[in-house]
Amino acid sequence: MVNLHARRPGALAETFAALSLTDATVENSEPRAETSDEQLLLQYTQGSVDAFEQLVRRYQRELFNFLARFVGDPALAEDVFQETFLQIHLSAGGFDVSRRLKPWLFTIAANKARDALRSRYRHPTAELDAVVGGSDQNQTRYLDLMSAKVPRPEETLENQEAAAAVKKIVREMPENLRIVLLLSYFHAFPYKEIAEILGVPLGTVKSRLHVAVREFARRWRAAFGEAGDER
Amino acid sequence: MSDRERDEELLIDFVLGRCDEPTADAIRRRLASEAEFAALHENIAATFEALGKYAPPDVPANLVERTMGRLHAMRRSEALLEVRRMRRSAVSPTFSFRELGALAAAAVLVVGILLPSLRHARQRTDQSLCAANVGRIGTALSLYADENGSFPGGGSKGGSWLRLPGMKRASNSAALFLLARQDYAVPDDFQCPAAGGQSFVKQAGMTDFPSPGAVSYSFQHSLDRPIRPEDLAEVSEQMVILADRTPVFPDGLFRRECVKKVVSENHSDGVQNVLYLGLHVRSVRDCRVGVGGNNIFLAEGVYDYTGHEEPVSRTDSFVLPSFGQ
Repeated sequence: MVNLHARRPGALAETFAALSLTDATVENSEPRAETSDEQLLLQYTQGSVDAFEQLVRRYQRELFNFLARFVGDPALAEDVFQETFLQIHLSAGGFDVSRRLKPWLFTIAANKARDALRSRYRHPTAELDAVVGGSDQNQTRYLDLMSAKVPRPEETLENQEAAAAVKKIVREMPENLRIVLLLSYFHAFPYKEIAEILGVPLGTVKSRLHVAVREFARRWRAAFGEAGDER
Repeated sequence: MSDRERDEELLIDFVLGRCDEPTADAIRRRLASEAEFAALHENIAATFEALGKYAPPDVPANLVERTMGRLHAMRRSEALLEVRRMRRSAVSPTFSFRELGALAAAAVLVVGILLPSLRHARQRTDQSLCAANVGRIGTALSLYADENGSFPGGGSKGGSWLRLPGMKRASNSAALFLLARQDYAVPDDFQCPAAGGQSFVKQAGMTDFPSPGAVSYSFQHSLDRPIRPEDLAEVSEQMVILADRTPVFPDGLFRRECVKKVVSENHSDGVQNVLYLGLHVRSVRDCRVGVGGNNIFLAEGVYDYTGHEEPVSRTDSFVLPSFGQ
């Protein structure tokens, strides 16, 4: 267990860096065969269905976890997971095997997930309410997020409660912030690949991540109060 | 960007392990010597710690097997379709004149009975789908404004917003296209289903919709600077900022006889969808639905157009034609 309470300057950063990197590795914990993802896809286009199954198996945990966190519903995530690999099957012939498969896989998965969310929730009332400007409170919503102490989970809740609370907060965040947060934190994608997956400029990825962290912190603090003094 | 915001971005990169070693060393030195910087770091670390509590559900049992099952089913369907296609091309069906006549009579009967009600149902469906599109564009505009401080600017800076031959054009749709280019909306959101829109695929280097058919909505002229929603908060419930395509400038040209038109031609049933600054969508049968009954298709009191006219005030709704590149 990593000690999350280390207070040496930089220790937290290193701890979280380790956590962040480890998360993607742990989630993709199927034993790595020597064959690369791209080679497996190439083999599939040449007739090897086993190669495709290896790909599905290799990404089952990491991709499913991403989808489950993004759409917030395991059943829908499973459906999108399957649709993603069916799309890979349909588009395999056009894939340039000199490129990395993983960002392409996540691009397809993200698009399928957004389509699924749109068809399930045609009227995203919560998101509309969350972003409409007008009141003073709304106008400052992204501006004051680091002005007071953010409570640590152990100061407020037990693990299960914290997990449920975080899930709710992440689910209610605007889609374009949520996806950047998940790809950068849980899956440790480089900013450049996130930009590729989302089809937006690199600067936009960084600014969205910044806004997403502030927004998450604001909602977390609003839900569970401030653990310490105002700064 | 303020120093504080720069520090936040730096610390987010640091906590996520995305700084190079010299930058990380510099941050560690600041953490040891600057209390406020250290407090900011503490907050960001706590934020990620909270986020890290989001454990995903267990991977469903047999996920791989079920996925492969669907893949096999799809491959079987593809193979069957291919066989049918080959058979169809090998054998062309023939009908006798009597059979053809019976088929034609049945078709006429079915069309005569069902067509009117089908058309009506289709109109209502298109109306709803269009309203959903307009709502999504509203959401996209709002997200864009959250991140950029204002809506994308639409107007005539540097040219005419009409499509006049030989004149420099300033496409008003380029502002809306920004929403698609930067992933706030998808290309299909900009095509009214009733207007027979033309979908497209985003490509690198595109700065505007590729054709007039790719954008069916008209966006507000923003005068000399992009609209900031908070500047107009007091009229957010009355001011229209986007509507079904304006009927006053068909094909991006001005026709005097069109000035009197009150409703977009996107829908054949005399209804149009409009988006208000407060992001609600209404289906209306008139053009006088702006602030104080303002005509949303005309600059207030202007009846002749050369492509350089502007709203007479910031609350004067005046949606411009969109015709892409």
